[in-house]
Amino acid sequence: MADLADDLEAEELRRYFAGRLPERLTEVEDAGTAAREAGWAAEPLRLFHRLAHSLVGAGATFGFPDVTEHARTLERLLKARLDGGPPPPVAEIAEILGRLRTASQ
Amino acid sequence: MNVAGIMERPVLQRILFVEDDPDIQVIATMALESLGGFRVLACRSGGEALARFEEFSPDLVLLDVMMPGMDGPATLEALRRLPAGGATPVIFMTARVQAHEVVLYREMGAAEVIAKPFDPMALAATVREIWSSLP
Repeated sequence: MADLADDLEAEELRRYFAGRLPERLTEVEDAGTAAREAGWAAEPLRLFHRLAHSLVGAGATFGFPDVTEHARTLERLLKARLDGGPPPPVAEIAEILGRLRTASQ
Repeated sequence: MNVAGIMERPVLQRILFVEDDPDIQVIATMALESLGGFRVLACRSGGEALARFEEFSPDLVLLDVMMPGMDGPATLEALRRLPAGGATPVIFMTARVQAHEVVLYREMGAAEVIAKPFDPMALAATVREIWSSLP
């Protein structure tokens, strides 16, 4: 982080977030597993949605538009469920999470 | 007070920054400190911000709108009930910046709204500009 303090250039920001993404995606994936195993109950689903939402904003802030795009798709799917819709399609969620992994590399 | 007898706003020095995303918190804090020269206290939640508000005594609060638990508007409402929290300007930071939402945030008491995503390298200048435009 000391390097970042010296040089807040866009590429430094990208590098910083690229280093953080694996951990953040694991967090999202774990939240997704917990939500699915809880039958898409409200509380774990809210956490899953919040983490997806955070990733939308962080991806945009740090210059990862693909991460933002896929996280936004995930966020919308989860929001639909939070708003009373049917459980989100598991296969679609898995596919989005896979895309997020790819976009983070 | 200046020569015309008008109260001048003090120099912006201390910013309380409330943001639940750990990476945005790190980068924005660093930008505000290293590029803006501000002293920043970063908090991860509205509750933490309220608990540390009086000891830090900020000139300005930067407040994320969407946070788990106590969100930005709820934090602002609670802040206004603190003995020293009534007059401190609060800037909301949010991805929801449609015109009607900005009007709503101002009605809640926000001095200004900064759109997300923001450019970390421009954040300090944006905050300083808002500060200088406050009445």
